[in-house]
Amino acid sequence: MNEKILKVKEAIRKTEKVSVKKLNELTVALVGSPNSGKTTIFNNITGLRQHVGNYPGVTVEHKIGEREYKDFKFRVIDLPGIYNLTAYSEEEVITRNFIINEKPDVVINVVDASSLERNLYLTTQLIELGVNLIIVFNMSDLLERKGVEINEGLLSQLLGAPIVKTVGNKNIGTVKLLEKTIEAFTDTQIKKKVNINYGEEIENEIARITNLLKKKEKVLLKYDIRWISLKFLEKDTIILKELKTFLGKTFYEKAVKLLSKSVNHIKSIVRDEPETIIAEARYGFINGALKESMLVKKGSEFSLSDKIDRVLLNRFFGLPIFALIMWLVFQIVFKIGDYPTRWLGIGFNRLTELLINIMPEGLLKSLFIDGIISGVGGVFVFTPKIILLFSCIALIEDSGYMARAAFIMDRIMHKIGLHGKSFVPMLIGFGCTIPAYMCGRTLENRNDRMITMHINTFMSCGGRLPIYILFAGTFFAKNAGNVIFSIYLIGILIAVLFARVLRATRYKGESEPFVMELPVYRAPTVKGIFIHTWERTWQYLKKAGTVILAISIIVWILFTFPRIGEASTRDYNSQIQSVEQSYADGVISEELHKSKISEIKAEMASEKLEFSAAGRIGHFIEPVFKPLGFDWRLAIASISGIAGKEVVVSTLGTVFSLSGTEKESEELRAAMRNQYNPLTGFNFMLFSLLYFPCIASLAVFQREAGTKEMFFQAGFTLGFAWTVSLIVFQIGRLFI
Amino acid sequence: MKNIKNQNKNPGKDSNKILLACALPGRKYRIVTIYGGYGLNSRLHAMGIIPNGTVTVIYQTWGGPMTLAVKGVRIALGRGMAQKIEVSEVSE
Repeated sequence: MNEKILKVKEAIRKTEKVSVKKLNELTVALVGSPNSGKTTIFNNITGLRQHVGNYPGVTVEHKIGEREYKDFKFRVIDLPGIYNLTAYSEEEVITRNFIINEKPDVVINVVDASSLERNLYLTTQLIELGVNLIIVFNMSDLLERKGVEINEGLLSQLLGAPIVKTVGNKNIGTVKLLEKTIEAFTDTQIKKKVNINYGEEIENEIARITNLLKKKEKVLLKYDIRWISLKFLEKDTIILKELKTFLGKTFYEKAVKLLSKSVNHIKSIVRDEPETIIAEARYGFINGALKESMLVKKGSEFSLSDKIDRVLLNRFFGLPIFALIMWLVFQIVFKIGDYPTRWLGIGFNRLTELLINIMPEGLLKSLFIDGIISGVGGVFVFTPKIILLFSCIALIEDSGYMARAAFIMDRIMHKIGLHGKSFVPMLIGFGCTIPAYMCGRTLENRNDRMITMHINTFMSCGGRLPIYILFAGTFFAKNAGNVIFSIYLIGILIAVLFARVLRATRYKGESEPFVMELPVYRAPTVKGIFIHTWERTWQYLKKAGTVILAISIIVWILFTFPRIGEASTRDYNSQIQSVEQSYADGVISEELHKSKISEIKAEMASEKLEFSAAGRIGHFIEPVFKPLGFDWRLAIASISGIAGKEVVVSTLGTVFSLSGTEKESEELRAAMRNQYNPLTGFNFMLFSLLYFPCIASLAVFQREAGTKEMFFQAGFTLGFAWTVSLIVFQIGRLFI
Repeated sequence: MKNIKNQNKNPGKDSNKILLACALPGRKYRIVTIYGGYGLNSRLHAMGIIPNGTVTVIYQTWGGPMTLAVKGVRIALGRGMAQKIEVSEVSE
């Protein structure tokens, strides 16, 4: 590339910088492979001053953090962990586009120093991009342990970028990294770019393509011409698309013609695809550089890790150990987590009591108690479980076991068209679907993630269990346990079925090939786990505070308005008064007094519900539920189930004019037995299993996967639940 | 295997070609050919699996995935992938 163009580019860069921000502010992008310790370095630089953002339209998250050092203000972006800079995965494209479009002032490439040869592969691609690069040799303490000596100066010269050694989990080298970053930022000299030689055949073709593209250099200004020629030669899909728009049709076609000629020429000589030859050359470049600058005194750091793997991946022990670990996680989250959840529940009850006492009677009071506290509180009380769950997940991820779990489950999950890692979110789905959706993030491939999230609905969450207990207990007294188990099993089978259907239709092909790095086992750091957990918990709480608050208010309005007339309210009140009067006069016993009062109150609640919008909707949509064998009561219960499946049981209590405390649940059962047959009972359980778990889960789904996917999830689960229940009822009816 | 055309550059060296899926643990192999498209090729290359490169099989589950030592890193490889990679044993 000639000097003139470089100068123009530099000038553009400078004017942009001056106009957008002050001179001592700099943007730094962190790039590295998933196990390089990139996030640890990010945490070391920014501490807790970070927040998570999503790229518009995609689910991959990125983290932005800030740091002030000396007179400089660093804006640090933690880009997704990648191995490559092709157009093959979403993460790679995001990283590449960020570097090309946002032009970070400095790019920090974090590499695992204990496996330089493989890790520097990404580095070579960053060098090709022509960025202002700093290479971080993380976990450099392992180098010494391995007996490896590196001539840093020489290697940095060969790679054309400064090298900084760090030990991320001990926070060593962070300050030095900041110093180097400032140095790279303030150094106005145009650095000489290191070019990797790809061998005669490729170089000839690159030269040919470069010559052609140079004619359009002005429109391609944001790219390095050699880099774009190389990507063109690799048939990079995104670059092809961009070139098509930038170059204009005729020029583009000319270029493509040249390309296919080049590719054929290369194939005829070396009988390999260009991407393979290019990759070989990159490894050749790395090997050459390392050979000159690195001295290895033979030793192996794998012995311990391999020994652990021999047990944890064992054909016979691997699966039981994994099952045991999952069982432990489940126990910790849902058993131990139950205590703080209960305490929070008690806290909210106290708050409710306090409000009952201090707030004046009226709508506002009802809004706070029945709407906001029961809605938002119902989500907040799960916080301890969320914290415990994500601590466990962070522990499993950071220690290196997650990759092993995927390895063990791959054989089974592969059969249903999923990735080994999908197992963990599905298991968590039996507890609560919300953290299960969030756990889907551990899957790197978007298709895998979407399928795992969509089928997670069919894992019976804890909120559905009260419904099963009520209905199975009511209609299948002796076989209740077996019936509940069969519902769980049906859910799993449908999940498996749907995984295959979704893979074959909506998320075709592109199943993540199972190629995964098994990182060396490491002791996780408290700080890393804390930051991981905190970040996810905070997102959950934010959701509870905003969307779920709004939804709770809407649900409350539906169940409260329009209100029953004053006359009937007065009627109930006078009834209550007369009972109170007779109790005060000693005409009736205390027990009778209590039961009469609750009877009147329950009747009032029932009338209120029928009169409310929700009740009317229940009546209105009864025709929709009729073919399934559900009457308006079950329709209302299903609607209330949108707020949370636990609510279904209490709503049924209300519609049957009972206040749903433990004592009266036998009465509710009797009332239901009068109204429905076992077929309807089973069918309702099935219906509750199949439609989306709750509105809060949909809100989380939206956050994790986008609005479109959320509506798809809501639509297909509702449609599917309706269809299955219809078939079961219509066929079952023939036999009863 | 029958319909796969021979792409190998040095036929003389690789008289004992086998699929990586059938490779034995503890032994070292040289990669001869990867039968993949652009996507799979790039991904495997980025993980260090590349023609003429060597891999050592660490663990075989026979029927499930396997683990390999590649360029100083442990890699888990699904069976489907391992069936698309042709290797020949390297005697040390």
